[in-house]
Amino acid sequence: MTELLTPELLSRLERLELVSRKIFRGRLKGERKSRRKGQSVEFTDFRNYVPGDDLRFIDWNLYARLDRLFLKLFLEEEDLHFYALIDASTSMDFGDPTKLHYAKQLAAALGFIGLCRSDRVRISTLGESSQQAAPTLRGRQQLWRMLEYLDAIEPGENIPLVEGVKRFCVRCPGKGIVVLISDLLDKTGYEAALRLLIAREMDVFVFQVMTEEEWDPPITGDLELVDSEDGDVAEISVSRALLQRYRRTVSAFVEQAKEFCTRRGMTHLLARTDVPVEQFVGNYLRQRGLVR
Amino acid sequence: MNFVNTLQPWQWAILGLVPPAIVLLYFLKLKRQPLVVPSTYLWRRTLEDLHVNSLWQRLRNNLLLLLQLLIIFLLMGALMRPGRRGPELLGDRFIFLIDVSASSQATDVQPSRFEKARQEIESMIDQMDSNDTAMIVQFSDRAEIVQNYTQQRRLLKERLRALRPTMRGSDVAEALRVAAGLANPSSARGEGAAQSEEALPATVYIVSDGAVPPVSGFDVGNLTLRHVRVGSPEASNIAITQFSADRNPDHPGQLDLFARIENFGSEKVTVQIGLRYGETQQEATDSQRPYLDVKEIEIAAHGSSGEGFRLQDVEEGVFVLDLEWKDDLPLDNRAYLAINPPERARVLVVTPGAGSLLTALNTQTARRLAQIEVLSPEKLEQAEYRQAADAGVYDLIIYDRCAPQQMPLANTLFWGALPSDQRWRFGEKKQLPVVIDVDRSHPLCQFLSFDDVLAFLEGRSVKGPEGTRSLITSSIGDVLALAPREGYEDAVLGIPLYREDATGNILPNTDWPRRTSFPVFVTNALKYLGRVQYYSAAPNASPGDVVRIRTEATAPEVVVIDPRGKRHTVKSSRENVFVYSATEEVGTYRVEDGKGNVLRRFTVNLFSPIESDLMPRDIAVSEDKVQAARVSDVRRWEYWKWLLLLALAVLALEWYIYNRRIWI
Repeated sequence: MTELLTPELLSRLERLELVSRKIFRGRLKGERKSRRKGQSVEFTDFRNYVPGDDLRFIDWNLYARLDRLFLKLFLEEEDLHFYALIDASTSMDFGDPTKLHYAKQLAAALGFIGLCRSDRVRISTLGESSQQAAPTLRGRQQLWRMLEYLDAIEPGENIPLVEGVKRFCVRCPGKGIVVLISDLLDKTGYEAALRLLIAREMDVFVFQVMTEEEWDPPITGDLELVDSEDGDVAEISVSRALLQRYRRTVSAFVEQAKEFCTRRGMTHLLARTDVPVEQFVGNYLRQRGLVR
Repeated sequence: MNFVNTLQPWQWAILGLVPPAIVLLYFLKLKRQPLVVPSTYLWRRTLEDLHVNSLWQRLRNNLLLLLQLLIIFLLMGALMRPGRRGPELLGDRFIFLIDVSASSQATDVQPSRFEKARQEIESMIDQMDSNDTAMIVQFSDRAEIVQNYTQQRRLLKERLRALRPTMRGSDVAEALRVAAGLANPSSARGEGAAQSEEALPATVYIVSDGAVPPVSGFDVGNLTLRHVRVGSPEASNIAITQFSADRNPDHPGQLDLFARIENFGSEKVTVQIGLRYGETQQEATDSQRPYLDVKEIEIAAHGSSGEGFRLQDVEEGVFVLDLEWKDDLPLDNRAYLAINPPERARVLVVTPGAGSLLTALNTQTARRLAQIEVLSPEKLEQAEYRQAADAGVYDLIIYDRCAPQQMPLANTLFWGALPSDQRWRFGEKKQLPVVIDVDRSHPLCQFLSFDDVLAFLEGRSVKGPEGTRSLITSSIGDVLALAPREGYEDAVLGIPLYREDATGNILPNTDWPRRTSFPVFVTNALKYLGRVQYYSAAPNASPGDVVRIRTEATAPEVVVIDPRGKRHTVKSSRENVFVYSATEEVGTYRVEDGKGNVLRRFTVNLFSPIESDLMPRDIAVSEDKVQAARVSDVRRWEYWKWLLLLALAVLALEWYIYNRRIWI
């Protein structure tokens, strides 16, 4: 087993499944009971026959007894598209474990849940090039492929968030659940990127990954802060007041992102790297309804 | 506000470069440590918030700079030695006379007049220029040079700090003579005058409350006198200015104590005085012991009151009178009085032979009262007797049936004989005189009764010179009379104890010696004519006085125990006389022989209305009043210490802020 998923976690994840609040049409029949009525063996309801309905679903027994035509309705079983979109920019390569590692763990965990339930799982990075497209996986035998792909993801894909999301939208026109795992630290802003996802009418989850050090920087003295992505320099003299103000700024930043998402029907979750992945998936995601 | 420049111009120039250097250093880029962070996005947003109030922010950023500049300016300010001062000290030579007399212990100014005077002089020393020279003289009832002329202010201050107030009286005259001896060489002849190599004009600052007797006949000469007056006009003080005791001559067992209390305040007061008694001072001052007597007296403003206590059967010991009143000078609220053991009289008995008189003089009581020597009448001619009689060695000489050629320098009792100064006459010898009247009011005849005396077989009346007092009157006339003689007293008794019959045999003349009244009479004679000091009050001295102690027995040394219990061994200066001078403390001093027997006591009390009157006054020198200079006129308040302290505090704050980066 790779370092992304432990056997214990895998055994726990096997019992979970991904939940979508929206009705999506899958391409293949899956294990998932759809809220749509369709063709399966599980009966749900009757309705009156209207001309044009498939004659195969008419309940002839009822017709014999009541002399009226009723149509039998069955639950549709279908598969689900699950997309995990990982921000692999340089800023994600900080912390212990790194934010990127944590993002990979999350993606692996959710992807494994999807694979177990025969959902269509696609994990990709924002900076994914068209030549090296991520594979779409289905079935738990694909777990190793998924993990291999995740292992291969390296930080340094420094493209604006909105650009990455746009590429994703173009490449994956289908519907389903999309989980964006990013620190949202984009100087051009995250709002435009998220709006693109809303436009796709997908069930969007935003996991904002943050490290302990970003919340409470253990720094003192006169410092020249160098941005890991664009080399921007900020000169600061660390003081208690400055640190207090910084903490307020971080809190406000997270709150703004949460509010932005909530207002637009997205689910925002703060993923702190000091919270173990098992706990995050098992407790937080279950509470927020992504898995059950 | 004025300043004293402490640096040379080039030093100021260097110091002046420091603030621009600090600013310059501050505006040079700080060497910051680079640190790669995920994103500067949030830090930028934080800094943007900080920049909203940019002026305040700029100030806060530069707080350390401002603090450093403040420190430098405070240090520069301290180097300027800012201070507030009045007119300059007059001249360049100063003599500071500090009053250390008893009144300087008054606490009407805090902490005391003495401390205040010391502060005044210290501030004047601070005000001296580096070329000025000064000396310090302390004075109470005598003057002492504490520090001779010097330019070292530190030395002057050290000497000044070593001074302590005394309990003595005050007299500025000697101190002025000392000062004049240094300024006016021609007048430097007085006692205690100090000689100086060069006589130069000087300014004398008398730092005193002015409680000194006027100084007359003093030539100021080169001196300029200034009086720095110490003390508050509101000072109040009640003092015991006298405490003495006297035996009632009519009743020798009785002791009358007398105290005088003076009110030096401007309000009428009612005070309590309490009398305690003890065998030692420690016992008498023990506040746990009950008072012998307490009296409440009312004293008018600037008035006085006398109060007496009559006590019975008091033997040796110590009385302490306490004034229950809280005032500005507690020193004079307690007075001490000691009662000495009796001082035996030295008595010579000139008698032809043993008899009833010698028997009566040999009793225990008589021995306690007197040291008795016996001489036969033949030896009256000898030089030894004459020398002793002329030197006044004896207190009393009893001539039994004999008389000297020349009257001695002593009280005398003639028994059956007449004094040789031709002033006395005997009447004719008559048989069986009967005592009619005895003057028992006189100490010589106290408790005397002839009721049980059977008879005097013969007797003669006695007639003395003018001023003679008849003490026993009989049927044949006065038989006992007393007359004064140049400070002494002669008593003549006309009824002898023995008579001579026709054959020349000596026979008793009366049965009186067998009666009780006979030893009573002998004892009375020893006490009265022998002038026995019977439990009398011990002498009193003022603090600092020299006390002469005379003892009965000859001893090479005695031990004087002062009120604090410290023992001083004093060697005899001449026969039986000891001189003791360490009387700085008020209280009771005990004189003991080497075996621990108390020989004498004496007390030291302030008893000085001049010291007890705390009203600050001008000092009069040779009819001129030395006006009190206003204290603030000669004082210089230095602020540089405060500036330096402030600079240190700011430095500590700057260091703290720099290290903790708090609130900026």
